[in-house]
Amino acid sequence: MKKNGDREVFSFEKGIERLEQIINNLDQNNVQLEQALDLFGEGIELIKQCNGLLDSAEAKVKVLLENSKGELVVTDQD
Amino acid sequence: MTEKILTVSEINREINDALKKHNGLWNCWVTGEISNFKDHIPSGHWYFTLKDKEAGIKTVMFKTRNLTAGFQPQNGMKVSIRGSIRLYEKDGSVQLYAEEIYPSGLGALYLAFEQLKSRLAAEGLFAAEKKKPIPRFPSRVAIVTSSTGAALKDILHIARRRNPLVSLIIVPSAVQGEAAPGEIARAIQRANHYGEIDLLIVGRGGGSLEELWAFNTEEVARAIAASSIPVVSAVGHEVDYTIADFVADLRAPTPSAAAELVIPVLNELQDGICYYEEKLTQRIQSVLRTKRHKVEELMSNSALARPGWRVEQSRQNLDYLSTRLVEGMTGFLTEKNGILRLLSAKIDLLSPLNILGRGYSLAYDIEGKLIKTVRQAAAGDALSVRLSDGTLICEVIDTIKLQASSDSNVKRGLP
Repeated sequence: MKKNGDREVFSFEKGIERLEQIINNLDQNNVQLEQALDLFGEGIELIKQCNGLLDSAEAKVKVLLENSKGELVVTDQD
Repeated sequence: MTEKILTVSEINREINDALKKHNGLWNCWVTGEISNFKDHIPSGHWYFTLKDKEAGIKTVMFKTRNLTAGFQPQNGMKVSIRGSIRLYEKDGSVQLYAEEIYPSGLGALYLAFEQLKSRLAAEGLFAAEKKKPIPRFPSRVAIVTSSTGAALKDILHIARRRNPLVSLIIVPSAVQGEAAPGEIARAIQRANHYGEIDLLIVGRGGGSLEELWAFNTEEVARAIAASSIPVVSAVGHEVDYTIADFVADLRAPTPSAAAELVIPVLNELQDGICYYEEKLTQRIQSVLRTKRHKVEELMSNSALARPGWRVEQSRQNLDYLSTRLVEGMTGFLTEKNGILRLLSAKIDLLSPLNILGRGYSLAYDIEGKLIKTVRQAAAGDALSVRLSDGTLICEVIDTIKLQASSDSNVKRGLP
């Protein structure tokens, strides 16, 4: 559940979405220099985070079962 | 004879009335094999004989009814028909007037399928606006299917090949048999309770209509509709359509196709990030370039940037004006000079001195009076004669007056 909370802060999908926004904003002719530099900085940070997600993701195949008490049990698949 | 004699029309009407009184004949299900099938052109009505080993009954299905049949009957095909038994009075034959027709054996299933489908559709379970968006980059994908089926193997294999970094969570469930609908529904709920899951694939490999039936049940349909995780249905082969497909947020034609549709290829994701990085750099460079141009432009235009510029400009203006002034004055003078020269030439022409230059002379007497006629001088008088370059002092020797005949000439010469 805690993990779930973390993911709401940053997900690959949200990162890419924001990157698209940033690039569009940088395309505007009237973008202020300071704003442009802030956007660029944010974009670079997002790219780092997205790469990080891909690097750190560990692919696992798990099995989700319910035990006799009705609790959820997750086991790694061999 | 005590018995009444009836006409053919009367007896047929009696038969028809008798048939109508029998509820079981008025609305009944009949199963049999199609023979002698005729698709009547142009009416579009279907005529055939429904028969079994021992008997047959003429059957009619009018165009308005057969349009919704969903398949084309053929001779030898076993079908179930709902309709009513009535008499065709023209030739006295008892006929089955078909309302609905289904391939046999599956008839009941088809019926249930169609009924559930229209009921759930009416409830709005298939509505496009209820469909949840499918995440483009799911990192955790759950699969509700049989843990021993080919479908799971296909999905795992394809998912691994496309993106070894996506986590897969298997939620095992029976996918056929009595227990299947309940197990599938509970597996969907379990996946929702677990959290952390971005996407749910619900499905199984190909099979007969009966084997796929769990995915046509209301229980499974409602579990899919209630899922807060987006659901991709992946049931059977491409040609199989189940209720689950209609309720799901996305229908994949097969389990393999589901994996292809929802698992993004890792290389493409990495390329995507590179693409964005490149774009980002390009954009910031372009922004900086634009800004620099603007600054340069301002530098070259602004009076602020070169305080002396205004003075220089004034000086230049002044230079220009003074040049124009000199030019104007010269022009003016040149013009005046011309007039002056013209005037003095005219004056020269009138000057008596100029006339003397051409050989004429003036004679004065001793008192300085101009001699205009011979009568003013007599022999022995002293005269001074003015020429262009000096004066002669002379003595008159004689005076000779011109003849009257040449007067006119003299008059012409002297105005």
